[in-house]
This record gives sequence, C-alpha cells and structure tokens, in this order.
Amino acid sequence: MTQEIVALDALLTQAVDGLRTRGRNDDPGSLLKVGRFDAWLRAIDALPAGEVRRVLTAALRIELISGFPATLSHAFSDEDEDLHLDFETIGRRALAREEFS
Amino acid sequence: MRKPKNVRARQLRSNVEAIAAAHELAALLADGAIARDRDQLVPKAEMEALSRSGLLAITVPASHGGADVSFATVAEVFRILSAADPAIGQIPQNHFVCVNVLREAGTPEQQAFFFAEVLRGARFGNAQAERGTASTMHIATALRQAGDGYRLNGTKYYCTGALTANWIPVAALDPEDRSVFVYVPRDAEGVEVLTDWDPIGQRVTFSGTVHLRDVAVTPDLVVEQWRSLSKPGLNHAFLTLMHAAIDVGIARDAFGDLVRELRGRTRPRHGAAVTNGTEDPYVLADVGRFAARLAALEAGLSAAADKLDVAVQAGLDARNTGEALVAASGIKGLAEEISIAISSELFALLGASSTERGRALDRHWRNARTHTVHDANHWRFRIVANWRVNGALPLPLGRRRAGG
Repeated sequence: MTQEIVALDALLTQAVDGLRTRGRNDDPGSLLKVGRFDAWLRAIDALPAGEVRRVLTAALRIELISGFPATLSHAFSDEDEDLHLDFETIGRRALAREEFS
Repeated sequence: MRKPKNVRARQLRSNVEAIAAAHELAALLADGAIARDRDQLVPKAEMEALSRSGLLAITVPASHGGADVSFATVAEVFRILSAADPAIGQIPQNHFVCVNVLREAGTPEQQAFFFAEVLRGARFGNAQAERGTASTMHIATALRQAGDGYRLNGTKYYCTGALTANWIPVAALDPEDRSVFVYVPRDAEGVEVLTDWDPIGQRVTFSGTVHLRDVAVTPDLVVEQWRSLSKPGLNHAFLTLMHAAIDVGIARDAFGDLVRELRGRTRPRHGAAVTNGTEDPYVLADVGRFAARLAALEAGLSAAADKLDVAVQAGLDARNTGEALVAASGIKGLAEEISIAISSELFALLGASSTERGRALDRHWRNARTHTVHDANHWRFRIVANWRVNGALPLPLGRRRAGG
C-alpha cells in the first residue's frame, strides 16, 4: 500500500473501531458502508501510482469522512473541494485518447 | 460412460493463448451483438464459435491435458467477452463452475471423461435455481433410487446456457439429501428446455426453464459435490469473480460507446454555455469520474482474481478461501455500481439523440441491470464488512431439501 492508502486504511480502521465501541458491529447499514469503502480502498490500491490513484484516494477520503462524520475528522484543503477539476482533467484526457493514470 | 464426441475445439496451452483467443472471439461477437439482443436470436453459431475457440477448456487441469490457466486469466477472458457481448459472456459462467465442481468433487473416472468432453468443445449449461422454496439454497429437485441407477425429477429456472448445451449439470439432492450435481445429457429423455426467457436485458442468455421428468440417471453421471463442501474451496469465490467480470465488461463497453459518441460531436447539449460539446465541464468531470473508477474497477478485478490464485499456490485453507470470497464479493459490488452508473448516465451526457432506438445505447443499462440482480449487492458488501469489522469469514454454501 502507498502512504496515502495506508492513511485511508487507518481512517477506515478508526471508523470500524468506533462502530465496535458503539455496539454497531452488526448493524446492517454500518456494515454496508464499511464493506463498500473497503472494496473501493482495495480497488484503488490495485491501481498503478499516478493521478487517477491520487484523485480517487482523495475522493474516497471525503466519502469516508462523510460516512462517519462523528467518528472521523480530517484537515481538508481547497484541493479537496476542487476535485471536480481533477476529474475534468482526467475526462479531457480520456476524450483526447491520452493514457491516464 | 458415453464415448466422447469428435474433436472440434482448438487446444489452448497457456494464459497468453487464452487471452489472445478471447480477443479473437470478442471481435467476432461484437459484430452482431446489437442485432442478437434486439431480435433475441438464439446464439447457436456464437456458441459453436466459443466451443471451437478452446476457451471452454482453459480450466481443465494440466494433468488432463488442459491449459489450467490462472483465475486472473479466466476473469480477464470473461471481461473481454462481456465487453463485446455480455450475454455470450455470461452463458459460459456456469460451464466454468461445473468444470470446477468436477475438479473439486469428481471421481477420477468422471474427471477423465468430462474433461475430455470439455477439451473437445462440449458445453455445460446451468440448472440450479428453483422458485417457491424457503431460500435460494433450498431445492426440491432430487434423485430417486431406481434399480442400479436413479430417476431425476424437478424444475429449474434461470437455466443460462442449457438451451445450447451438450450437458446440463443439475443441482440436486441424492436419496440421502446430500448435494450432488447430475450431469444430464441435453438430449436425454425427460429433459425439456424452454425458451421462456423474456427479460429486459441479457436477452440472449436464454435463461429459461428446464423440466426434468423421470430422467434416467446412471451413477457415473452423479458428481458428489457434498464431499467437497466440508473442505476449503474456491467455488463460491470463483462464480462471484466471473459475475463481477461480466459487469466490468459491460461497464467498459458502455464507457467506450460514451467516449466514441462524445468524440464525434461538437454541438453542445441544449442549455450548455460552451461552444463545443467536448468543453462542457460537467461532461468532462463525469467522464473523468467514470474513467477513473472504471480503471480502478478493472485493476481491482485483477487483484481479486489474484487472491484466488494465491490461495491455490499456498494450498487452500479456510482463511485464504474466505479472503478470496471477500475480495470477489467486494469487486462484484463495485462492478454493479459502476456498470449501472455509466450505462444510465451516458444518456444525460449525450443528450436526446442518444435515446434513439437505433443507437441501441439502452442495451448496456438493460444488460447491467438484469445481470447485477443475480444476487443482492447489499449482502455482497456485507460479506466484505463482516470480515473487516468482525473477523468473520463467509460460511460455505450448501443446498438443503425444500420443505425440510
């Protein structure tokens, strides 16, 4: 795992610990959230290093913290609010037949 | 045992040859995919081409003359074929399951016979699901002792591939209520395969009903799957992986159509404050999200398949087979999300002309929606979470008698 994914995995672990503490480890909705985040984390981790991996990691971090707002916190930056611009760049490359990573 | 039929299939010998064969067949399949779906044509020629390609035998063990390819290769083959025609991509999914059942539970004689059949291009169809029982794992189809052999009775639904199969492995219970697969010849007396498949998508899989009325069964055709169920195995992870690959293929084909259509346009969408459609920031951002997530999905599919291969290399145990199923379940969940999202949203990004029936862009969503409801996605993610949160690996699946 890269440093970014390790950090994201640590956040998910923190969320999971929070669920256990609150007795929500068998709660269907909570497990659904964790399962989805874990699956995305693995898929993103399978990507080669590069822009796509970076942007998806940042997007997943936002989703993860939104999913566990009482348990998790993060010092977001302007770049996090501007992720749509990164996706526009990736989209532009996809339409121009450029390789993106 | 019956004599194997004449050789008609290419013998593939490696992962590389299998992938090349998949690309070759996909080029053939892509051509008529829209017409087959539109007119719901029975894919006889396409299934014969699949048999001749040698792809149906790529998981036959090396000890029996097969290429014995990796799970990663099988996943990639399914992804490639499904990107060309997801119905043809789906049809052999249970064929591969039934080859794996033989690997895990077949006697040496059954393996020798059926692997030889598969190497000659024989196709296994599906006959597992039933309706009206307490759960999907409760079945009524059963063998009744009849002299030295048996009689098989039951009705199966969603029998993908049965119509064009050579053999129909039927999930049944033996007289002692143990889980077996009965490898019934397609043309056996008492076997009736209906063409009553009328869904919105995956129309060409012809996943209709199979009636089994007092079908005579000799003991050599009964594979005692129950023997393998108490041991760690990869059957559930494998079938989940293939399901995921089919949806990843659909997502890739839908995205490909989206990008091709956008590249061919300059006129912006109605209401867009740009002079060129490819400068629409909302389109660019959505295309970028889809491109990025699709890349992750395809990488994730490969990584999930690797978990199955690693388990084989390490020797199967409860933990590594459970982890393989967790990985396959996760990627299946994501594949549903992304295939549905791309195939639905492409209309909003392309505008009104994309809804013209002649463009057939609706087929992606119809196929994705129909295939993905095979099982409940919520519970796929739950499998992943149960491992992450509770350290609990999924329990093995086992069939039980309906009404028992």
